[in-house]
Amino acid sequence: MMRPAPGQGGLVMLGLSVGILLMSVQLWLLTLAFNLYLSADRRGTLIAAIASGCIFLGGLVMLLVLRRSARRGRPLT
Amino acid sequence: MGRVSQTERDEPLSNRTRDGRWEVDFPFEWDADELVSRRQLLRWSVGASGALFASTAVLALLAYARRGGRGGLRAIVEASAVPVGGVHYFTYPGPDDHAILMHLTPGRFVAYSGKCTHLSCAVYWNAQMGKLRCPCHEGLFDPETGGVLAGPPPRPLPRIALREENGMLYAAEETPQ
Repeated sequence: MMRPAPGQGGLVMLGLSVGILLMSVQLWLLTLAFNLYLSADRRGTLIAAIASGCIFLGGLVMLLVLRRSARRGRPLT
Repeated sequence: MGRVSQTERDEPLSNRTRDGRWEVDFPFEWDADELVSRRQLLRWSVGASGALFASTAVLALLAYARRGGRGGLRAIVEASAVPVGGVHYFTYPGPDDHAILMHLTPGRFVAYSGKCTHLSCAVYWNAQMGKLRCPCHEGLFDPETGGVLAGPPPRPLPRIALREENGMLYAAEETPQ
């Protein structure tokens, strides 16, 4: 198992915590989108979906960066 | 319930039998904690994030796909049968969908869905308060607009478009607002 470099453990945990926090924002966006859907607010629902998509893309990019760094053999996590 | 001695606890689970009931019900060891790495947690989190995004995107697509309103043209009541300040309860668009027609000022009628937007309780006209009231959780709605005045309802009452022909009032379409 790869471990963070000395002094980077806290940074990794911070990144994970922010990611989980953003997931709760996504959950809130989903409930918001439900409410807007029931109010027939198309634009609002679309904005909520775009915001949720941006958070998902951020996580995906983070995962790809980590995978790439693992291939290079840099012990990030 | 069998107790596990210190020696038994120290040896790997595969080397000993699971005689205690709790070991059968909760077959986890401290070593298993190491099996979930931060990388795996991140992978699952991104998967869950994707699922949340997909759900929100489906809602957005549904919002664009659905038609404007519900219901077709249907006669409600003769306009003269509802006095100014009076109300008439009817069902629209389905036989189980309660709705309220109100005669606010001479010649001005409005109609709303009678289902509270909080938990679908029946909304009725409270003459003393001069407001539409949901008795379940004390939700109050404005008779002029159907907007929420108090209580937990998250949205205004859906409005029912009205049409008057030859003294008869017709419901044309129910639209959320």
